[in-house]
Amino acid sequence: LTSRGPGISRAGFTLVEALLVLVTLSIVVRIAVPNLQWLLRRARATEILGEVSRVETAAAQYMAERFRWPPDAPAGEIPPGLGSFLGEGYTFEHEGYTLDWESWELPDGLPSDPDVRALVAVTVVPATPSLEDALRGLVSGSPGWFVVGDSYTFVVEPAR
Amino acid sequence: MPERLEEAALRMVVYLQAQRVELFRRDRGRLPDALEETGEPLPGVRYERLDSRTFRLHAVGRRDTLLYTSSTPLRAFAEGVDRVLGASD
Repeated sequence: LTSRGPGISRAGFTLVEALLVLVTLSIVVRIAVPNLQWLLRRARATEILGEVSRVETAAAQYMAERFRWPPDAPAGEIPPGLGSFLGEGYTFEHEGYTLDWESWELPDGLPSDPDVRALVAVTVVPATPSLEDALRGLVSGSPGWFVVGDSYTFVVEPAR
Repeated sequence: MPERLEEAALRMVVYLQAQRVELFRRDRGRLPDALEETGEPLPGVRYERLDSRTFRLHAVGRRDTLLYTSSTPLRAFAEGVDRVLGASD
């Protein structure tokens, strides 16, 4: 604020100028913060897809060594034997989402391919709807995944 | 997600779950009392045993709800599910 007394002259802001700066700042924050949050969520979704890829690669190594896919396991639990391909200390419980290894036996195969005997997949269960939307935005248009409720399932391979 | 893909995804889930129930029936000679008996249930799927031979699965998605009764041929019910796997189209 400007202060003008007898013999004193100090440069500063008027009240109107200070208010203008505050209003401008609040507008910038209102625009920038949601964009920043969106960018952070998108980065998180990309990280999740990276983890899905990591599990898929580990499962493929498991398959190459044991000639079968890892068995089904509950959400958040690494299937027995897969841990050694994922690295020490790896977990399926991550901050904001959980991974789930799925192995479905298909005695009748798939409708278009009766020879398929199993379907293996990695399911991601995001903890928040905003993360779900970011994940959906990233994978939309790609084949090999489906979503039910809040779970995103990425099919690794139909097995014969 | 396009509506037709969402419906196909729901059918896929019902198809997978129904095969688990059928596998259980083949192994044990009876239908499960609850879906948990067949393993970890798929999200959004409810199970109901109608009688000793027939069961019903109810899948709830964001927009759609699907009902499958085991007296319907499963393959006919699941027509098009491969679309969600990227195997057709």
